[in-house]
Amino acid sequence: MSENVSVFAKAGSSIKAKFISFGNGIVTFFKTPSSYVKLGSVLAIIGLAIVLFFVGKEHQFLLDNNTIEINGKSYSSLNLVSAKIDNSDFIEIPRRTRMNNFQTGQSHKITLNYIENGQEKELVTKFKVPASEKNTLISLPALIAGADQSEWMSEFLSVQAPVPDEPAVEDDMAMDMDGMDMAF
Amino acid sequence: MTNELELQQTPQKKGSAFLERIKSGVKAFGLPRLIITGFLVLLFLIAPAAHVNIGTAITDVINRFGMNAIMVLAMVPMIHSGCGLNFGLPLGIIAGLLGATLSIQTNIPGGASFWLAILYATPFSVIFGWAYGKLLNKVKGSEMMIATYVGFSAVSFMCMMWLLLPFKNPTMIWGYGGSGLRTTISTQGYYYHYLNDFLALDFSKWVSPASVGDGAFIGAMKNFFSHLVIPTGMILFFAVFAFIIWAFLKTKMGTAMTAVGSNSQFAMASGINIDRTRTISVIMSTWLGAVGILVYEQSFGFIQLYNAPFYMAMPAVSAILIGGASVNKATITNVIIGTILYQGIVTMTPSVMNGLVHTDMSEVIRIIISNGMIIYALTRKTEASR
Amino acid sequence: MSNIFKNAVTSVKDGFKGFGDRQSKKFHDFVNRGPKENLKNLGEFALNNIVPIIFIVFCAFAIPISGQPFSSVVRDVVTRLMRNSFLVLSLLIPIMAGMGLNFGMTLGAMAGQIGLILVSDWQVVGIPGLMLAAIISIPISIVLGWFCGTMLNKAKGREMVTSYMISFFMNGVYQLVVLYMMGSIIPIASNSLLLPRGYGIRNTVNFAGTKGSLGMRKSLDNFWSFNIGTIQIPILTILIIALLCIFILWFKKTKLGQDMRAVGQDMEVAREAGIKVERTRVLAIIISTVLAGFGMIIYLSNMGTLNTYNSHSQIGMFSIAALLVGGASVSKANIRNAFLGIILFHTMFIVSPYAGKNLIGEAQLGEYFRVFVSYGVITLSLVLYEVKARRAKGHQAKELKEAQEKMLKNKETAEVIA
Repeated sequence: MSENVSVFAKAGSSIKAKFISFGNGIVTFFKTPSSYVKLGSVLAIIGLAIVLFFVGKEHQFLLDNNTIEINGKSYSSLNLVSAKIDNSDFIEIPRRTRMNNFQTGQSHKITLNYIENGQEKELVTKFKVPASEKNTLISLPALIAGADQSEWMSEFLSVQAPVPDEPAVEDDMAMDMDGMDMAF
Repeated sequence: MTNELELQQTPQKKGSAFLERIKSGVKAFGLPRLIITGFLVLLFLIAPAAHVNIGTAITDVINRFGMNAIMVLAMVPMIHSGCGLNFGLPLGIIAGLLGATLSIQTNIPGGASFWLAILYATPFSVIFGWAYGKLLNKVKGSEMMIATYVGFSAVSFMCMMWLLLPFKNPTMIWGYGGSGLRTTISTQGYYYHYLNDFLALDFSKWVSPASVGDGAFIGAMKNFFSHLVIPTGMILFFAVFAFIIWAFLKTKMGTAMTAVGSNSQFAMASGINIDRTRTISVIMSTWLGAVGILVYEQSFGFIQLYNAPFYMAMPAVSAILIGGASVNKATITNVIIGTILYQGIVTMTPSVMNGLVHTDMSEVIRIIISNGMIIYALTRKTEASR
Repeated sequence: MSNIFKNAVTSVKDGFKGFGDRQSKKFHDFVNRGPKENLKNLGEFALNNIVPIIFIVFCAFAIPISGQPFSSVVRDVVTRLMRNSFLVLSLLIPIMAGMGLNFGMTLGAMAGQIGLILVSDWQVVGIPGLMLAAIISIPISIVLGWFCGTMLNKAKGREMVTSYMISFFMNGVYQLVVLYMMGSIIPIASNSLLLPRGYGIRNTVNFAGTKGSLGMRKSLDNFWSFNIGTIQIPILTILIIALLCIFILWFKKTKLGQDMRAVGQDMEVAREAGIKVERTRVLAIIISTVLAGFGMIIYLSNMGTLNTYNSHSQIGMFSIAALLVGGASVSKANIRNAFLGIILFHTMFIVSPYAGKNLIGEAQLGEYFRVFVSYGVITLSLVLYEVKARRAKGHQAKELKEAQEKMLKNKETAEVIA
């Protein structure tokens, strides 16, 4: 029995020693300046990753030109609108249609050209989208009528259609891969 | 170090002595091997819950054992002569494939074609093995890496040859539009199941599946035996080869081989021609590989050409390692135990997994276990001598 | 910071200067020697560079036979040079540390692929997407590289075959993660990535971006590039590759780089000199793995599609073959070997199916041929290296014996005189 106790004591002491050395390690870590540099650079990289995530996050904007009723108020569709987001080309959105446009980042600027009372008008609006929002529906009639942002912009929840297995890319790639398709 | 020794020598309580014995037993058996054995036993225990018939399972394991055992046996001579694990097994397999295709080209139906294939494969495996052995003698110390790539080069070279060689038998060549041999050639009509059916014990002929009136035990036994088939011929064939190798290792040549492998300085001092001994071991391994693939084909039913032999060395290598061999030590027992364990896991995991969770992770498990075993053998401290 | 930069600049300068000096010295030697001596040297040179010479000769014959216009061959080679350079360069550091060809670079490639899969699920696109993938790959690469390095320390003397087996083993683990854990344990939202059964990644992942989506394909190459004829010259990619070259040249000069070379030359001597041999070797593998991860991201962004379960294992073999074609050996490799190798190897790769078709009427034959050449080159280089190493060893032993005999003789004569 006494032997066993001594064994445990020994084991305990070794664990204790490990703890102490671990503690010492931490202390030396905070004493040496190079450790701060290391820690700092790790944090900087993590920070960079977060920034990259928000900068590179892709959003789909669905520019909608349909008659729409929001909070009991009806906005009728326009005859012809052309729109661009950020620096994209202008796209024409005829009546009762919906066009899509992909952009990265959260802050955007939408520029609309439309005809009102026989006069050509331009409307520039800045807005932000939450990073988690994948598809955003923008109702152009509501935007032009001067509705609130929460009214003309809404998340578009599409039901993900099941994508068929093995997309047609396979053939394309076989060519791209230059016959690297060996039996591995 | 000394402390440890003292600790072991001091009289201890019975319990701890027992524990110590278990520990040393585990150490001798090897922890990975123990885990793999435990895993296999577990698979057999939960098999009924997964609706897998034990009789079928055992039949599969024995069958796959017979199919692969000779290729695993092919590892033994080279390990003995210190050439390491024979990653160049595809070279022997190619000799076997040449024998098989030539035999079918000769077009003698039935079991005779099997012996003919072995006959044809022999000169090829001797020539290949001789050249391969000469090469390995030039690169002592890093045989394994070079063996791997010799195997790969040979397989990819033969890919071109299968396309170009003037084989004529219509069962082997592409019908129209293509040229060269097919990727898979059926052995049906030639030596298909030649060894499998030789004196086979098919219990299903004598025992019918459990019927309503049977008791629990009788029913279970009936269910077991009605699915059991033992390919006696294939097992006998392996037994003969195993015996020949075992006996060979006891001869003068065999002991010389072992001497070269375990201590080349000593072997040289006692007048053994090291290079010649090593070359002979390589020729033996190559020929066994050739015979091994023929046995495999007769049971599997197809000759697989082109890319098929690329990774055929890996299962054989890991099987012998699982059986307890190391990079420079291997016995026939290692071959038998290793092949049973490896093939047991390979055959049992898919059926049990499918029965339980409806996903087939067996391929991933096989990759991890077999390659993990090879890494374990390569990184063992005791063998890091070279 | 500026100090590091200065160091890098001087080391690069030294590198070029050293190269120039060596060439001019070679030229002077050539002029000073007689023609007979030169012929002998030429023979030696040919023997030492047998692999590149075979390839140059092969390409010289195969390009005309293939019937491909020279400009299209050049265009394809340039594309592949940009695509593969980073990967091949990632192999250099372990060679410096005497650990041979790092077959474990596939581990880095796996890490890069995991990064790209996650990023494309999060729909982070363009260059930020690639950078984010690179950052994600770093910790994975470090862990895998640490594992590989530690294992290789236990298998000294057979690092290559062990790293080769580790790449196979890790392929199993990779499949476990990507095929079973992604979508079930690791959240993956996109249906276009997941298999129809609800978990596991599809066989192919497309980075091109569909239906107007921006994607990541070629975002690096198209960011800043110009065209010469039909050949696209991607400046940003070239800059990144140049940066890696400078890093390698600079790294050789650092304390760690010097330690690695010492370890590569003789482990025991290095240990006695107070170098932590094991740690140095593990670091060499970790650096190589991380770089391979970046290389794979560059490679895949150029390709536009990921072959989820094949890309990494193929790239390992092709990168190693390319480096060896450039005249590198198991113990010696430099940046020049890498570039020359990629150019020669990929020229062979591009033209051989056409050449096979024109010669025998079978494109398939050419495809088998280039695979055979890839494996054959690795085999030939490994064998040549081993034979040479053994010959050098024998030579050394002989010299040592002669010196000993001489010493004994001297001793005897001294005793006689006394």
